[in-house]
This record gives sequence, C-alpha cells and structure tokens, in this order.
Amino acid sequence: MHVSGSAYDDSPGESVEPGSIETADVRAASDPETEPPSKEEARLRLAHAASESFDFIWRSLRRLGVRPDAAVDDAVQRVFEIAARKTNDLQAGMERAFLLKTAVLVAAEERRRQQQTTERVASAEPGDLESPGLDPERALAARRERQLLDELLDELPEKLRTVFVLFELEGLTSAEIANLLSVPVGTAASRLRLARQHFQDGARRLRARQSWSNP
Amino acid sequence: MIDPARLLDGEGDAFERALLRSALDDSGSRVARARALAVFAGAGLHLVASTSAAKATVATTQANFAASVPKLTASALLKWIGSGVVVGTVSAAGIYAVVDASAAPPRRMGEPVAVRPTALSPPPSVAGTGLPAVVESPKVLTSASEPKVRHVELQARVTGADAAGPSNAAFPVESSNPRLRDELLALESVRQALRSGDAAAALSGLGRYESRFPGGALSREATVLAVEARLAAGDSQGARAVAARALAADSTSPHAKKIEALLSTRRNP
Repeated sequence: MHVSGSAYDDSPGESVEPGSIETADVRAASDPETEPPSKEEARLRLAHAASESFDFIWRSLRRLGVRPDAAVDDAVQRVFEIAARKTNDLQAGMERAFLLKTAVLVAAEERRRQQQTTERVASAEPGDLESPGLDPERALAARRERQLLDELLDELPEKLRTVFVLFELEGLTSAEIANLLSVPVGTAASRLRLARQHFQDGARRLRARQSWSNP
Repeated sequence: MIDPARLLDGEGDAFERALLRSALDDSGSRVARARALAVFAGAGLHLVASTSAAKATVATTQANFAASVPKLTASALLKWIGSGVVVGTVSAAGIYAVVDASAAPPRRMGEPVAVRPTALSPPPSVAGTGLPAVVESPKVLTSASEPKVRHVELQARVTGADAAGPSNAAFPVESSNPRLRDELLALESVRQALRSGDAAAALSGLGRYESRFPGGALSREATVLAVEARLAAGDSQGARAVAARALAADSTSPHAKKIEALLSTRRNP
C-alpha cells in the first residue's frame, strides 16, 4: 500500500510491501479532523523534529540492535530519508513518533539483513565499545558489560525490547511510550512488565554462567 | 498509572544496573548528524545542520573553505570529500545544503514540492567513505550565476553568523518561504539552548519568536518548547499556565499530548 497522491509516489528504490516500512509509515498519518499543513510547513516541522530527535533516534537504533556504529549512522539517515519522502502524510505533532516508529522498523529490517548475511556477530566491533577515559581494565569490563547487554536485548521480542529500551534507557514514562508507539498505556505497561521479567531472567542466567566459569 | 521504578534507579540489582549503565553513553557523531540532517536540505534545516557541524570545525575550516568553494569543480570536490578528512566531510554537508537551497526555484505555499534527488532520495555516496557526495551540485557550484551571493551566504554560514540567530541574509532572496525558515531557525536556537541547559536563553529566544511570529506556523511547537523551558527554569506554575491555555484551545492534538507528558514527567520525576 502506498499513499495515493503523495509527491513521492514515484520515488525509486523503495519496495512497497504489506507490513513494510513504507506501509507502516502511513498509519501514523491522517487525522480527518486536522487540516493538512502545507507541504513546506510539513517539511519544516519534520526537519525541526529530526534535528531535535537525532540523538534519540540514533540511540534507539543502536539499542534496538543495529551495530556497528557506522551501520547506526546509515540507519538514521535511512529513517530520515523515509520520513522526508512521507512528509505529506505526517500529522502535525506526530513527527517524533513517526521517526521512532520508522526507526523501529528500520532496526528490525537491519537485524534481519545482518542475520541473513551472517554479518551479525555476538560482539560488536571493538571500536564501537571503546570507553575513552577509562583505565584498560575498567574499559574491558565496560565492553564486556555492553556485550552482555546487547546479548540480553537481542533475546527480547522486538515489541518488548522497544518498550524496555524507551523506559529503562531513555527514561520515558509508560504514557510517553504509549503516545510514541500509538498503543494504549496498558499495553505499554504490560509490555514493560514482560520485558523486565525477560531481562531479569536473562541477567540471572548470565550471572550464573559467569559464576560457573569464574568460580 | 504509576510506573515502576527503573532498574537503573535502584530497582535492579548491581549486575543489572551495570549492564544498563554500559549503554548510557551511546551517541552519534557530529558528522553522522550533519549527514543525516542533510536529507532535509532545502527544507530550511541546512542552516541547522551546517550550524551544528560547522560551528565545531569553524576554526580550521573558515579560511580555506570559504575561499575555495566558489572555485570548486566536480572532480575537485569529489577528491576533496574522498580524502576522508572529517573536517572536509562536515563542511561538505554544509555546501551540499547551501547549494541545494540556493538553487531551488521559487515555490509558492501549497505548490507541489519538486523532488530533487539530492534532497529527498539517498544522497549518492563517495566510494569508500559512505559519505554523501555533492555530485549533483557542481553545475550549480561552478555556475556563473550569483556566485558572489552564494559566496557571501557560505561565508556567513561557515563563520557561524547564522548560529547567532535567524537571518535573512543567510537565505537566498528567492527562497520559497523565508519566514517559515526563520521560524524554524528561531525555534532551533531555543531547542539548542534547552539542550545546553540554558533555560533563560531558551525563554528569551521564545520571547523573540513570539514577538516576531505571532500566530506563526510553528506556534504549536513553540508552545511545547515554552512549557519545557519554563519547567527547565523551575517555573512549574508558569509552565502549567501556558499548558492550560494551550490545552484549553486544543486538548486532543499530538502537541497537547506532548505537553501533558511534559507536565506528567515533572510531576513524577
């Protein structure tokens, strides 16, 4: 499905399939009560939101499993490109939510791509996990902790991971998460509860593994 | 609904907190930011992108960059970018954006936006660098039309002249809607003040915005920022007053939800 009448209908290179990023984009869009903004105004709003949300989107992509950092940079650009093509469909004020939803989908796509091409590795590139300013021993420990976190996050189902990351690492409330993801607050809270359970079970398992290997 | 305490805030055990803390330093680079935001070149954000990127490198780029740009040819530009020098890369985003904006034909509000490949589709990248190339721009860069104007614009940009605040001088006269772009810039400076923790500057910037653009196209965004700035300044009563007025006018828009979320976050830190 594609948005008819979009100025970007003829944009090349984007396959449009059910359930694809392009399809999902549209869901964040129309509100019949709202007067559609002019295209230029919509682009400006989006540009403003993109500038405001760059760090948020970058961190979200990284924590949603895109790595190494260079791939995150590319993924952010892709999110913004998709958004730029969909400017006309964006409801004013929903730009940040739209960018996040797009980021979630881009991250999922990137993870699938990495799995298919077996590029995905348990450990990220060393450079991604460097901790400048730390002594070597602490830096090594920090790197190891980050790898374990990635491992645990990778085990979470996508929907749970998204809510977990937004709550625990971004510090958003359930209400904010629900608003961003366009889900009921109860759903966000329930996903968070499940995600924390998964995470804590996984952490216990990792800890047990570490104690077993380092008695 | 009351949220549980965060694992990082003590709800988790030491091991869980250590794992989560390891992700707190995640951040994208300035180059990545400039590159990603270049996608919106032509929407007015070129100034934002070039400001954040060029400000950081202005000391090293100012002299040779401003002097060299009008003389750049396609091959020289490609070589220059291809060299992989970070400074050059960041600046390239600036050039890319400047040219894109200044080359845009006049357009009326509501008129279909011409889709320029450089602005709305993935920018071609320079082989081996993964960085956006300014491939489409050479014709414009080397064009004899208005080179002086462009040079002045670029100098203003590189010297950070636009960073101080909105300025029509930074925009081509034939810009499709300089007012909207000025609005965006004004709010961007407010946002940056907030990010840097300078609530007073943010409030002052908002005051300027309101006096310059009463009923502006981005006034709803400005209202959200006004609530945020007052909260950041510790003026929760003022924030609530602004919020109440905004919510009375419109309680269902996404902006209203944002405002409610801001107030709710402050109530439950």
